[in-house]
Amino acid sequence: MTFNSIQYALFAPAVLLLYRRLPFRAQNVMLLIVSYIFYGWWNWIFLGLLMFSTVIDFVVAKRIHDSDDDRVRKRWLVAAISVQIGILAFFKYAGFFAESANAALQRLGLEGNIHVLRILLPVGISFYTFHTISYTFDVYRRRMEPTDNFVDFALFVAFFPQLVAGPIARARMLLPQLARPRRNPSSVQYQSAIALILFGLFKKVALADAVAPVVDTMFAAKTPTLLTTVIGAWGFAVQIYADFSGYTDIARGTSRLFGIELMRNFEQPYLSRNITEFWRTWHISLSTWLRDYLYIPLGGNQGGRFATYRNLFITMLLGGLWHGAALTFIVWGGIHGVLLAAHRAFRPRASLAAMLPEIRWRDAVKIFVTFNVVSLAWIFFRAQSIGEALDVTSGIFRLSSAGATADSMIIVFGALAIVFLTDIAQRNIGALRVVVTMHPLVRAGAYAAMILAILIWSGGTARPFIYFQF
Amino acid sequence: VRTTRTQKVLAGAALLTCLLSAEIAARAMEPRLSSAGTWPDGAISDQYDALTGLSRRVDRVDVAFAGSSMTKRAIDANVFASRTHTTAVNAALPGSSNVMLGPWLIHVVVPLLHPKTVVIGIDGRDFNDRTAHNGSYATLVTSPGYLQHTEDDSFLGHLDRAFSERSALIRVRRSLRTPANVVRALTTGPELEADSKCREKVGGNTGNNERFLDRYPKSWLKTYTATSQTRAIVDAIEGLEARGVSVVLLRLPSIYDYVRARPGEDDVEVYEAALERVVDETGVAVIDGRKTIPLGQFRDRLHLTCEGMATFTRLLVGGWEDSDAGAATVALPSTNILDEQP
Repeated sequence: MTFNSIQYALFAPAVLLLYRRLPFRAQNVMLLIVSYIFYGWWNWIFLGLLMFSTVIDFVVAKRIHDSDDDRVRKRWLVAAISVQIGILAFFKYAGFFAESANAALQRLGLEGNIHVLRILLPVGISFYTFHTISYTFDVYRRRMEPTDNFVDFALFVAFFPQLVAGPIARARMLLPQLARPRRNPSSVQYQSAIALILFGLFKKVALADAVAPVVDTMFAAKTPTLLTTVIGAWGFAVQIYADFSGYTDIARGTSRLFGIELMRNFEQPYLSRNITEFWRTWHISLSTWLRDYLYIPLGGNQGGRFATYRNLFITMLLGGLWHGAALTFIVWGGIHGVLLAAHRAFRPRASLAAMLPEIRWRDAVKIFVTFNVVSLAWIFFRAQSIGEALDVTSGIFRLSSAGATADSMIIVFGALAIVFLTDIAQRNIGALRVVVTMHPLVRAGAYAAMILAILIWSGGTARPFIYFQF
Repeated sequence: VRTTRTQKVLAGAALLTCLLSAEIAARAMEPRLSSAGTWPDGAISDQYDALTGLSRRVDRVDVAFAGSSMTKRAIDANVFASRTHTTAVNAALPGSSNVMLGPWLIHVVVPLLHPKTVVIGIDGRDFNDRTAHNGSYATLVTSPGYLQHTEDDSFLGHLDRAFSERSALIRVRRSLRTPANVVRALTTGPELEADSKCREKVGGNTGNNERFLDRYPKSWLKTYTATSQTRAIVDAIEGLEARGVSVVLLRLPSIYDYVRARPGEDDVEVYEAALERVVDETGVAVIDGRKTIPLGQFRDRLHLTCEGMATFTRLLVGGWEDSDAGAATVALPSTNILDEQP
């Protein structure tokens, strides 16, 4: 059941109606049950794995909290993380590493016969594993008290709007909301929730899914040219942003209807003026997770310049690997690691501004350059192999427009224009203010335009959200 | 910022007005919009539009011609209809082979035009299991146009059809996804005539184009087998007959196929054996038009020129009357064109 399916369009309102009629404690129990139903819709067998992960961290966090002995606390932490990462590694990376090892052995002239497991990847495993690890880690660092209520904790792990593709919730932010009675959303919250859901659907159906076939065609071009590469790379930049941020908007909007706020995952990333700013605004829940639970434990920027660059590179490399067991993701992470380290080396103070700046004309060149660098890196993320990525990239050197149709250009450039214009409006006016301060007639026009676009691009087999595969 | 009740009502009215305006605009555009973007390519899209246009004017046709672009370029259905005093349409599907004909005829042509007889134009190429067109089959049967037209039994399919019956916006929405095609359709309008006047391609007669001759034998006729394609055409014939449609096979004019371009005669035997199997299994009537057209009336050694189309149609009319009289196999007059080859 995906957010862009008829099933979800029936499921979410039914759950909301039921939710409104229940007292607080029963609400959490009900949300937990429907979250498990939502998850079991894909594959009920993996529900057991989700529950196992939940029980492990619930128990271990309490053990950590109850002990005053640092060695015991650390042992419990390592045990919990080992189990969680072990499960993730088994399901996600076992096949990849076995295949890579076989290939390496064969190159050395040896017989590579490590058995390669072909296992179905449980949906959302990367996300809920990070949920639970962050909880246990925070309890270990004494940043929060563990919860005594198993239902609240299980709901924190499995809350259906954010279960399969984030945002990667932090227990410190979400658990307190689940532990106390929630007020009904105000009319402004309702408005903004509906606007978020509608905007998210628009981004998914009318931008990401509209651009997807064009991107597929451009990446399949037998002889890539400058235009096919540009359309392919820019198109995928739009596709993955509209797809993932669309999902997040629907998740946040749905959650808001239940009176629960999820963290923002994107802050107009393509308006970034440099790569550091990009990573402050792209997939924020992951980048801050990597910062807090990987980069800082590695030493962060405390060990001198070289150590900082090394830590940045390792963090991004593992961030790439988190997306999937493929060399393309590792190279994508590595590219960003190098870019971040290089930016840090040449502009050490560039990332220190606390507030994201309003967009001005003078930023245009920096934004254009950053967007293109990010788009080039996306080629590796999108490609099925390093060879394909290099092949597509080589198109830059063929000055030709062959392979690109008028429709492909209209669709990709049009979608890109919509992304930039809406992001500039959100950045310069404020996301919520855009919705609530807009004149009702203008708002109605905007809603009508989005509904029409969704109608035009809907139908047929719904494409799953890209991040579901991670 | 609080929204007053009046503003809410106004906003609701504005939203409805926008949606209604879009529906009105879609209704206005609908006759001019083709089904571009919903079928695998423009040729199929044009053919579908032509057939749906014709289906609005006639309840059923007597004869529907089917096959690949070779059939499309071989028969002028209007001339055929006027000479045989029937209604006829050339419903050939450019880029098709036998496996595509079944779905196209049974799920698109028959429901639209209810033909009494379907004449399937065939050539050795259509029987080749390794034809380059095999990939087109999957593309056709999974295309939105095909799924929309056929009975998609899913819940969404039903929903789609229910809304499509009521809303022009829903009906034309797939066409709206290809903006350049929309502009083209709105500025030029689609061709709704099933058999538009024959036009030569730019470059005219390319009958002596050796490159064409060199290219196809290598890519299409390599390792010739005729198993799945034979099964497919048997299934198509049986499917049509089960729907009360009689079927005739028409062997299309041929210059070089299996005679000159192929080294060796083995593949000819494979094809002939396959065709014999089809006739044995289905009892279908065959009109043999292979040796009817001189080289000069071929546009590119596969497809006929307009003059060739006129000649072949005229010859077909004569054979049609014999076939109608009950002959199992009718050979059209031979011009011994195979002897003309250099």
